[in-house]
Amino acid sequence: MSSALYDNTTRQIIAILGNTNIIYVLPQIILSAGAVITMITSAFPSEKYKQSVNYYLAVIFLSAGAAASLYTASLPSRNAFNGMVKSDLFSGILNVIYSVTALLITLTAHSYFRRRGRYIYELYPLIQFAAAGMMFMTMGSDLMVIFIGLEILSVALYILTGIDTGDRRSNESSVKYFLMGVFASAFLLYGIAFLYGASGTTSLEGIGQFINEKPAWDNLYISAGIILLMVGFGFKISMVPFHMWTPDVYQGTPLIITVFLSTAPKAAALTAMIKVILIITPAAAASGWLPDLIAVFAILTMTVGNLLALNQNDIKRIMAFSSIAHIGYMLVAFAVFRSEAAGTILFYFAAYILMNTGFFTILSLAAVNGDRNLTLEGVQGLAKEKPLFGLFLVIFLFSLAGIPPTAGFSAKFFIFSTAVEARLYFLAVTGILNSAVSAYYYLRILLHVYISDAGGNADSLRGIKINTACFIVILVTCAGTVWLGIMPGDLIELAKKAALSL
Amino acid sequence: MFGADFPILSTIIFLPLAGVVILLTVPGTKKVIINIVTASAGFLSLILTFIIYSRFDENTAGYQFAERYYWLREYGISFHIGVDGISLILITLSAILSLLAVISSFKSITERYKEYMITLLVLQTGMTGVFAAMDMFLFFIFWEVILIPMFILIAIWGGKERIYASIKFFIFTLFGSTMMLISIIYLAYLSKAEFGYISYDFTDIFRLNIVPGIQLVLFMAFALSFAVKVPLFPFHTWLPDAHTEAPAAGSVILAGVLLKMGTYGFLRFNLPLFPHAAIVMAPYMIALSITGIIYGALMAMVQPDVKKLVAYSSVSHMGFIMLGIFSLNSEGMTGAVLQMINHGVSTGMLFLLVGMIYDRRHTRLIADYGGIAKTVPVFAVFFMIAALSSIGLPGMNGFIGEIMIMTGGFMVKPLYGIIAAGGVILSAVYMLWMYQRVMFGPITLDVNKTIIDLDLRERFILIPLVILIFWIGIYPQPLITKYKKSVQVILQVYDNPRTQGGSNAEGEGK
Repeated sequence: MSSALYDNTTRQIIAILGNTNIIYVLPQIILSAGAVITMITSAFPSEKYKQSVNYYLAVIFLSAGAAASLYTASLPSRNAFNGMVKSDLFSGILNVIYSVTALLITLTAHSYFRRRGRYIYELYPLIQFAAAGMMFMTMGSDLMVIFIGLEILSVALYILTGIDTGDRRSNESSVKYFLMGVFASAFLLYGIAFLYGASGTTSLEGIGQFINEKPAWDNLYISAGIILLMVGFGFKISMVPFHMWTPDVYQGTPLIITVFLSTAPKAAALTAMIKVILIITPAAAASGWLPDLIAVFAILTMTVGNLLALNQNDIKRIMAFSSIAHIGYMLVAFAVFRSEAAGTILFYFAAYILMNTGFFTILSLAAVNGDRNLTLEGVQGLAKEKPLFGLFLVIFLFSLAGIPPTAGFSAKFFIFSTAVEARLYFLAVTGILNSAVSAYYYLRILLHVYISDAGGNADSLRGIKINTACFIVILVTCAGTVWLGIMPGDLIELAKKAALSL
Repeated sequence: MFGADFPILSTIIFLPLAGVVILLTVPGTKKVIINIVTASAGFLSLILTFIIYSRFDENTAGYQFAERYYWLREYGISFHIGVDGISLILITLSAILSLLAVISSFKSITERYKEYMITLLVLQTGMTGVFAAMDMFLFFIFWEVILIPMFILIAIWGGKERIYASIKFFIFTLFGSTMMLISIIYLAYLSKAEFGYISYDFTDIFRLNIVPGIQLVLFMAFALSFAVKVPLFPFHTWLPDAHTEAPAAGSVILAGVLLKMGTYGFLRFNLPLFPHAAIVMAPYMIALSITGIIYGALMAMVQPDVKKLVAYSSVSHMGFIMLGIFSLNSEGMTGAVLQMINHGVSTGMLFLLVGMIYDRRHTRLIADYGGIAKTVPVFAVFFMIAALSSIGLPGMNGFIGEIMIMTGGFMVKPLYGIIAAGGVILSAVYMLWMYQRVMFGPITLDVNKTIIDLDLRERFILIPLVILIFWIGIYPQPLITKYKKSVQVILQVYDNPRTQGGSNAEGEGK
C-alpha cells in the first residue's frame, strides 16, 4: 500500500519534471541557486575565510553553470514549460558564452577589487543573477519570459554599475544607467503591448503565425510594436541613436564591470532582438522596409561609434565608442535578415568577448591608481616596464582593429562575406571602411603603450603585480583570439548550424 | 634530401616563424644566441629558396611546388601555395634581402633587440607568403599580416617622427586594402554563381567570366590597394615619411620587397582577371606612372636628407615598373619584372649604405657630410656602385630593365618612351649631385675626418648585392628565362586583338 503510494508519488514527480522539462533550464537553476548561496556567505561567521568562500563558491557555481550549459546545448532542441522557453543549439552556445564570460569577469574582479581595498560580497551573486537573466532572454520564446529575463539582467546591472559605493562617479553612472534602462524597458513593454493587442498572444510563434496568416504585415500596431521593440533593445545594445548613455556609464563604472557591461549583456540583448524579429516577421519581410531600417541603424552605429572614438583621451571612453562600433558591424549581419547570418553574429560575439575581456584585464592590472588614470597618458610606457603586457596588447588591439591573423579579422570577414553574399555591397563597404577608421584609435592606444617613455608613472607601472587568476584569463583570451583567427572553421560551422535551429 | 613530397615551399614560409618560437624562449640579453637563431633561420630559408630556384622548371608557365591543405572548407578557402616564375624570383629576392637586413642590424639596434629580430622574421614569413599564395583569402591574410611587423618596426625603432610615419603608413595601406577585401569576397561569390561552389582559389577565380562593367569596378578596387603599396603617384605620400623614419633594415625591406608586392599584385590580379578594364585603364595608369617618374625625380633632387632622396627615387623607379607593366607588351612587362629585382637590389643597397653611415655619424643630412671619400674609401666605392646601378649605367642591372621598359613604352606611344628617358637623365642628376656633395670636395666638418671605414661584416653584406648588380647587368638571360613563360601567359589575352577594346561579352577573361 505504502509502496504503491510511493510509486504513485514518484510517478507524479517524474511527470511534473517531465512536463516542465526542468532539465532544460538547469544552467539558470544552478546560477540562481548559486547566487543565493553565494549571497548567504556574506553572513558567514569566520572573518578569515569569509571572502575566499564567497569567491570560490562563485567560481564553482559559474563553472557548473558553464558545464550545464554545455550539456543542455548538446540536447536536441525542444520547447519547454509549455512553450515559454525553447532550448536549442543557438541558446546553448550563447549560454556557454554567458557563463564563461561571467566566470572570466569573476576571476579578474577578485583581484581588482582587492587592490582597491574593498571587498563587496554582493558582486558575485549579482554577476550570477545577471547571467541567469541573460539565459532566460536568449531561451525565451515568449515575449514575457524575454522581458523578465531582461529585467533580471538589468536590475543586476544597475546595482553592479554603482557597486563601488565610495566612488561618486560610479554612483552617477549607476543612476544614469538606471534611468536610461527603465526608459528602455518601458519602450520594450509598450512594444510588447502593441503586439499583444494586435495578435492576442505574447508567444513568438503565435505572433508570427498571426502576422503570417492575416495580411497583417501592414497593420499599424504590428509595425509600431516591432519598432518599439527595436528601440527598447536598441537602448540595451547602445545602437545609435540610442547610445548616449554608453560612454558616461562606461567611464564611471568600475573597470571590471565595464567589461561585463560591454560583452555578455550586449550579446543577450542583440541575440534576443534578432530572435524575436526573425521569428515574428514572415519571410516576406526580408524584402520590406524592416531590413532597410536595420541597415540604416547599422551604418549609423558603426560610423558614429568609430568617429566619436577617434578623439577621446580616456581609454574607457574609447572602448565605449568602440563597443558601439562593434555592435554596428554585427547589425550588418542582422540586416541580411536571414537566420544563417545570425550565426556570424554568434561568432563575432565569441571573438569580441575574448579580445575585449583580455584587453580590459590587462588594463585593470595597469590601473594601479584607480580607473581615473586610464587615459592614454596613464598607460604610457607600459610595454617598456612590462614587455609581456605589451605583447598581449598587440594581439588584442590588432584583433579589435580586425587585422589578420586574429579572431577580430575572422569575425569581420564572416560578417562582410554574409553581406556580400546577400548583395548588400554598400553595407559591406561602409563596414570595412569603418573598420579601417577604427584602426586609428586602437593604434593610438598601442603607440602610447609601446613607444612613449613612462615618465611620471614609471614607478607605478613597475609596481604592477599579476596574480594567477588574471594571468589565466589573459592567457585563455589571448589563445582564443589567436586560435579563432587561424582556425575559425569549427566554430563558424557550429554557429551557423545553431542559427539555423532558431 | 627534399624529395618531391617534401613541403619545401611551406617550409620556406614558416621557417622564420619557427625562429620566432625559438627566440621567445631565449632571454633578451643573450644577443649572440639571438643573432645565431635569427640568422640561421634566414640562412636556411635562403638555402631552400635557392633549391627551388634551381629546381624550377622554366619551360612551363604553371604553378610549381604547389601544396594544398583545406582550411575553411565551408567558405572554399584552402591553404594553397605554389610559385610561378614571377613569384619565384621575388621570393628569392626577399629571402636574400631579409637575411642581409638581419645581419645589417646586428650592431645598429641597441634596444629591444629580441623583439626587433622577431619582427623581422615575422615580416619575412609575410612577404614570402604573399608571393607564394594561390588562394585569394590566403593572399589577403599575408598581405595584411605584413602591416603589423612593419608598423611596429617603424613605430618602435624609427626616427624622430616615427609615430606620425607609422600611423600614416598603416592607415594608408589599410584603407587601400579595404576595397580589395570586398572585391575578393565578391569574386568568391561570383565563382559560386558560375561554378556552383564557392572558391577563393586562383585556379577557379582565374576562370571566371566577368562582365566588362564590373571588371572596371573590381579593377579600381584592386588597383587602389596595389597603387598605395607601389606607390603610384598620388598615393605615394606615406612612402617618404615611412622610409625616412624606418630603421635601415626596415627601409631595405620596405623598398626592396614591400613595394614589389604592389606591382606583383597588378601583374597577378589586375591584368589577368580584368583584361577589359586593364585596356581601358592602361593610358591613365601610364599617365600616373610617368607623372610619378618625373615628380619623384624632381622631388629627389631637392631633398636635403639622403634617405628621403632615396625614398623619392623609389617613387620614380616604381613609376618605371608601372609603365612597363601597363605598356601591356612583352618588352615592357619583362623589363618591369626585371626592374622589380633591380630596384630591390640597388635601392636596398643604397638604404643599407645610408644606414651604415648613419650608424657612424647619426645624421642623414647631405650638408653634414662632404669630402668623406677620403676618410671612407671603401664605403665610397660601394656607394658609387649602388648609385650608378640605380641610375642605370650600362653594364649594371638597372640599365637592362630600364631600356626594356622604355622600349615597351615607346611601342605603345613614343611620347611615353621619351618622357621615361627624361626620368633616367634626372635620376643621374640627383644621384650624382648627391654623391658629389657627400663624397667629394673639401672636408668641412672635423667629425668627418675620423669616420671609420666599413668593417668586414658590412662588406660581407654588400658584396652579394654587388655581384647581383653586375651579374644581372652583364648576363641577365638566365634570370629572364625563369619568368619569361609566366609573363607570356599574362600577355596571352592581350596579344589576341579580338579581345582588345571589347565591349561584347564573349571571349573575355579566358
